[in-house]
Amino acid sequence: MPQILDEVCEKAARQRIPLTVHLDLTWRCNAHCIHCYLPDHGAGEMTTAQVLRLIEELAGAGTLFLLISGGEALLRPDLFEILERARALSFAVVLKTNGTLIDDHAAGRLAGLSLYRLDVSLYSHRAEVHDAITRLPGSWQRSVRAIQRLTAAGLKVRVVNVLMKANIGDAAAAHEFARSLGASYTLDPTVTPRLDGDRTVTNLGLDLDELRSALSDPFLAGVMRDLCEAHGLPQAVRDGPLCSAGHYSCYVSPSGELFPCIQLPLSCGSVCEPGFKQAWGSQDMEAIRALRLNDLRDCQGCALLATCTRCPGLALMEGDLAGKSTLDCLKATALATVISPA
Amino acid sequence: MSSSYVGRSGAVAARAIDGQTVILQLATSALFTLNRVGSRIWELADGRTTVDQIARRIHEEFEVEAPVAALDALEFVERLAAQGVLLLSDAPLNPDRHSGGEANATNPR
Repeated sequence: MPQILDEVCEKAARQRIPLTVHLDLTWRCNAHCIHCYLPDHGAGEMTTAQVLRLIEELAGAGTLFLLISGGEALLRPDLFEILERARALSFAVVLKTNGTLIDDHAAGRLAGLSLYRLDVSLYSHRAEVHDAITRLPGSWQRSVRAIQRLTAAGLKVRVVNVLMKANIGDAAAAHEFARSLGASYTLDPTVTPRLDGDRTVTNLGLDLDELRSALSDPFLAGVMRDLCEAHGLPQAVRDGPLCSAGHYSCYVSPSGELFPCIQLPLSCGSVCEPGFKQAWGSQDMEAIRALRLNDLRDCQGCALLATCTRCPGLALMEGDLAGKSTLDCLKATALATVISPA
Repeated sequence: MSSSYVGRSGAVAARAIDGQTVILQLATSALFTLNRVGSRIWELADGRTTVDQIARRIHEEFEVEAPVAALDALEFVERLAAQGVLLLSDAPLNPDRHSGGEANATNPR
């Protein structure tokens, strides 16, 4: 599949087809995660009719992969109506959830929808560590029970973990725990700044020494190496897109604002008015598409390019789209000492 | 087999992209890409159309000799049915249900 998928992604990028869309349905959440990228009080949410119109438009635009998240998407009473419509339109739907609201009935309904995958956030194999991150007592127990219900119902479940100071010692055991639940696993050491530009949450992330230590875990080192390889050889990258953002992927906020990526908070217009097509083709989106490595002044000649995941959005949140992302510099420095360059 | 009805499995995601159809089998993550003729067969596989009828449409729309279209359509349909992407049935199928796999088929072959 990877080779075919690469070809499809390349074609989508060339044709400006939004193959992959991340759609957050709500700002609301029953958890209060310390590292959440959404502002506490977002402005408005799309109505059911607006969401349904959007996904119709996305189907017509060529979107195949649809990641639905929040906030906690299960807080929307119309979630199943939206999922059913998305499946009727033949999307590959991934639902990202904290799982705490998934009882036997909900698990059964989800199993009947032929979703591609359920992503469930779980930050540790230990309840006290997880609950301290979600700031929702009992959430670990409920999330674990949800994973068990979902896998028992035949759904593919992936445990999604973010590595922070609060759970740094638990990464390997959390991976093993996910496996014991019948779930796959992914781990990201990036704490994303909030969508409103607030960067204080990034203080929760690992420092250089902690990153180096964490990368002794072969699984995390492998995840990071794959990310670097996905960026291609340095010379090729100079003439190609920096990443998929705006080329074949994008993010839609609960209020219907279109962004190139969840980590690139540059609003390109509303998908409700005038509509997705216009926002996707906006000048702001074109400006992102035009970015090349040669445009990143501070990265020219950097010896760490081969181990760098260079995110323009993280750089923008530090004040300059074409400047450095110190978060990526940190990761690239740690990676360079741990893994062989791609 | 040529008189069998052909339907799309509910256990896939699919999208027409630049003249091709991209199909993702959700359970296995297997990805298929269909060319123009394959994409047309995919469109025609509505659960109420037989392999013979599909072959006739391919013959008419793509200027393929009728015997060749019949053989090619049958081979294509059987190959995707073996992968669980298409469904074959002696009776018309309920189109575009999403309960997945052979559960959609009556008397699946």
